Amino acid sequence: MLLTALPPSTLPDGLATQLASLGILTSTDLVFSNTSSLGIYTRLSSKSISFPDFEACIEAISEKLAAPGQSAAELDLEIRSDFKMDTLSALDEQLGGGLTCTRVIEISGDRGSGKSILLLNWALELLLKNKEIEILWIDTTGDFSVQRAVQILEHHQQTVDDMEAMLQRLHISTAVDIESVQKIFRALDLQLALQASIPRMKCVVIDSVTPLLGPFLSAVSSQGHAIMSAFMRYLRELATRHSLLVLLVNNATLMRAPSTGRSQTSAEPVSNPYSDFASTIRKPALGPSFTFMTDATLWVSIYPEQIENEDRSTAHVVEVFRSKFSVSRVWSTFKITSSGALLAGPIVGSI
Amino acid sequence: MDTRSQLLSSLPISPSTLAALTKAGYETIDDLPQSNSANQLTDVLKIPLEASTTLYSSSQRPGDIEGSSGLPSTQSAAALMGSKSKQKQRTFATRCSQIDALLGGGLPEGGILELSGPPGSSKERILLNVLRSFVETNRSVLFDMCDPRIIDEYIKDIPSARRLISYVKAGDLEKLMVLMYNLSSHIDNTFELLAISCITFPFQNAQLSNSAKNNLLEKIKQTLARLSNAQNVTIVITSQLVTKLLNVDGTTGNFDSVGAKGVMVPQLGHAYLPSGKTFRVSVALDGPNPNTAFVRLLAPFKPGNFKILPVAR
Repeated sequence: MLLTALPPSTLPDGLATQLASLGILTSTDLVFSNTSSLGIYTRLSSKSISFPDFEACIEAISEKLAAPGQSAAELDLEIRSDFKMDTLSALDEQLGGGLTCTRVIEISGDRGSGKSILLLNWALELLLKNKEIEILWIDTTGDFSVQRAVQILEHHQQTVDDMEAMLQRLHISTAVDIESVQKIFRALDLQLALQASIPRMKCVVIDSVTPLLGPFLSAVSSQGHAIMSAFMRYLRELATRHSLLVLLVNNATLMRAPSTGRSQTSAEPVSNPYSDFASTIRKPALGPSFTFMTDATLWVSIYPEQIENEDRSTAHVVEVFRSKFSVSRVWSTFKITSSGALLAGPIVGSI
Repeated sequence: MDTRSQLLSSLPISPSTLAALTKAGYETIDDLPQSNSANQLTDVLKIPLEASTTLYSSSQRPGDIEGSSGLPSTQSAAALMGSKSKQKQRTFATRCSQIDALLGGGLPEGGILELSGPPGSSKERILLNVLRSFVETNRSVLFDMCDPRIIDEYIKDIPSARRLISYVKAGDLEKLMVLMYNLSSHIDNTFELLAISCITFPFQNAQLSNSAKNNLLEKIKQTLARLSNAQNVTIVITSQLVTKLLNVDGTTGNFDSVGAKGVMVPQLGHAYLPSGKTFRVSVALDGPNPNTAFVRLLAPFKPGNFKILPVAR
């Protein structure tokens, strides 16, 4: 914070300008300066306050700068009282009860693996369970269809009025590039900061984030990576400030074998070491560092073995590749019916 | 530290302006001097005047501005559904009642229609019908096609037609991708219908690996999604068919597999179409009988959705 912007009760008038002439402009400059406070005091041109008062000013400023502490009991209470998104019942146990807010979660998988429909089911179930929550779905590929959402709600046996009320709380945005998405987030930031209305936006889904950030990433320039890091940092900051749950859908790319000394064109696919199944030959897109910018990476794919299913549903499996807040390397299957509804799968496993 | 004041890094300013501001010690909006200081800031920090005016206008609280509580380009799902059921959305007739019935009343504005079929099926005629619907209601059209003379015959009775239709000819893959790139980078396209006659033709002779082809189809999908969502452009595309061999259990086969069945499917698959807004219709001839055809809705999928269509020659 600029010293000149501080109120005169903290820092006497005139002192700020004197410090500015010494090259100390912000509060961090003052508190963390290399010279001791005595050194700075001696360099002041006119001593309008005494040295103990000067030290007291610095104390007051560092108190203001410090982040407020929070006891673990308060934090626990906050987490328990806020909402949780239920995923699959078996997975919820591993995740500690579901996906809580102030988290940024990545869900990746190949084309057609069922990630969007899985997220849509989770989002609608959250809306069903909790009447005070609104969800923002940012569609970057044009694949969202309201009919699907209606079919899933019909599967949950909702009346038309209930459906109408629930769909009022699901907001769909279309944005095809990173600038439009940033505009939407800035508007959301302002809206959440100023209004304390119920129902409140508590969950944001971006389907998918790869076409927003992917085109910028290149091997010869770091600009793309900088854009990606800045965006993810902003998302995390937003999630913490307004306790949102942010879910990102990421696409997949082929695993490449690590190159040896001789140039060798490896034609056979390499299987992903994070996955429990040898048939996984792809990995999440957007580079190796993207997984560290989110709190957890979930991988969705078609279940490789045949399961008996009489009701024309497809079997999929969701694996936790990496998670900061729960056990990783666990997986659970699920089924998607022809109308898009989610059913629990029969098998659960862990490595 | 006041955590409620917004960081300057979240405002839409250029990196050089942000760097100048950070160097001078401004971190949050509260740090900016309040009183009419766009000029002052410019002088002090040596940033361009437009940058500082943008900074001040974007940092204003909405309390100062006429508040609209909605987010940009956002609608609730109920509103999306509601506009369809109340028929507030404009639909355009294909002049072919069976197809109009399959589409639920006509092609909605901002929707995408893919017509696929063997040579000789009337898919081109249907495309021209949609074009005619647009021209008759005085809307402009961008037509990507091979031969303008065919269409001249067809629309010579409509007076303003020549003015409203613009032609491009994207005969090979490079020209098609250049067209797609130009369409997506221009923000204010003036046409309301994009008609592409035979999108599969540029792909026929191109020697492409699977991954390169998938990349191109992704780019086409992004362009179509952007046109349809952001600019409400209606899109009609015709596509040829290709034979695909399926084994008995449904997996892809080849000519050597025993019991493999050949199915004709649209050549480029569905990867180049944003699935939320697309209708895919297949028009097929009925064997030796030249007077009837079948029309079937491939997507969005509802079982049994096909009609028999008497073809007027």
